[in-house]
Amino acid sequence: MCQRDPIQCIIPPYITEQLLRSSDPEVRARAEANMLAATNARATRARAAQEQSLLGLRTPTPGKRRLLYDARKTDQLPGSLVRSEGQPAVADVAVNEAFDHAGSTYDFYETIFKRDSLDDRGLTLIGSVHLAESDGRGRYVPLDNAFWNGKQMAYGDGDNLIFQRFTRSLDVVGHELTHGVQSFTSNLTYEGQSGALNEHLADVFGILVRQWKNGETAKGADWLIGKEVLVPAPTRRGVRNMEHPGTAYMSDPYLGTDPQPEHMSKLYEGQSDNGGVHINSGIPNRAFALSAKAIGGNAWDVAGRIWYDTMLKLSKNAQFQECAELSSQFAGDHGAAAANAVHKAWTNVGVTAKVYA
Amino acid sequence: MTWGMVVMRVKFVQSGGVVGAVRACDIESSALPPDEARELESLVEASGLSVSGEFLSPAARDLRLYSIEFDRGAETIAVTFDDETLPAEARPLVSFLRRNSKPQPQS
Repeated sequence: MCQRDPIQCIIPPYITEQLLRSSDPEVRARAEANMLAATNARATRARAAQEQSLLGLRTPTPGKRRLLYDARKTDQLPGSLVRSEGQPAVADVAVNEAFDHAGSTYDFYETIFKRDSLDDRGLTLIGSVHLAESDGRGRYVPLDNAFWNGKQMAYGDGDNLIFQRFTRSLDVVGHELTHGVQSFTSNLTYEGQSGALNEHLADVFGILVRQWKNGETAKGADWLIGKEVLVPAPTRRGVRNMEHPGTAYMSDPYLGTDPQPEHMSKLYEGQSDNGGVHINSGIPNRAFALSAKAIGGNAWDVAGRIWYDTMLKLSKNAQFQECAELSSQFAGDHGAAAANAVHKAWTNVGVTAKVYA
Repeated sequence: MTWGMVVMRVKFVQSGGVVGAVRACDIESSALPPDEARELESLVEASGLSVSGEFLSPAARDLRLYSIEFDRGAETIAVTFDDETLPAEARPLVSFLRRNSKPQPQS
């Protein structure tokens, strides 16, 4: 078994597939790392120009597979492999958080929607922790961000002034992985309203993973995204408030005031943030939170199902109106009360759809 | 290359990231202490930014975006990069502008 850098060590796929079934976690980890290298190399050659979002690791059998890397406080991805499926927890808390939260997100999608990973075909979940960025003066500083780069998740450690480790938040990990799910489903164009829907759906399933894991009901939940990644201060409660957009942080000396609108009348129409993808997501976010609270019970049971079906059906350049129409249509499958709740929620944020009860 | 500017105006907006907070600044070199004005002009020159355009990673999500606009003689250069496309030569300029930026909107 090759022990060298997997990028430099590509072995035949039939051998890798055999090794993936090994009872030895170390052998499986090496096999998965090698398969990743081979898959990426093939993908880069054949498809990178056309389908950059699909560069991932396909596995031969269904099931949960995770690979966690340590970027070792540099800006190089993925870094060194530090934990894979079947291996025990390590001393590094960020590694374990990213690993466990990715596992919870996989479990959520599999249990609630019978979805086998991002591509519904067992794609390996890849993440890197301790990602840093250059300060332009030859030094690396901790990254104040988490992102999905089309192939994997990446998490920074935060500056410890405003932000803490981004792996602390289950809903942030669920958010990033849902960007991966979307790249295999609606793949909404990342600008303007379609981009805001992309962000909205990442928030919806990010928060649902947390609510499901913690057993929080729609009415009992706080609907805050990313509260664990912020250094506590009276001026900040989270990075977004899905129920009350625009209130997650107020007059914060570093973050300012949450710019999210809660109604179409305040739609951001500027150029920043790809046309406000993280800003205007407040509008559909509130529609979802209001729908879930009006339907009652656990948000993942009915409202989550409606929005999951919607995510699968949305067109690539969908606007809020299309999301409202589709979710209202799917709500009709769950009875008049759900249909009316979803219709009323969209109306509340300034988007009018038909009632499909 | 030396552009020989006396007064330089640079507009900067950082947006995006999973947090989505927006920070911005609008700096005129004449309003800065002489050392900082020289540093800004030097960083703009060293950035190599000479063609306007938007350079974004198509498959990535939640990267931070950096929009920079400045005048080069009679021409206005306006560029937008993300964390993955930002050229190494422009990172020192972005660091300078981030240090001088404030959260938006101001409350």
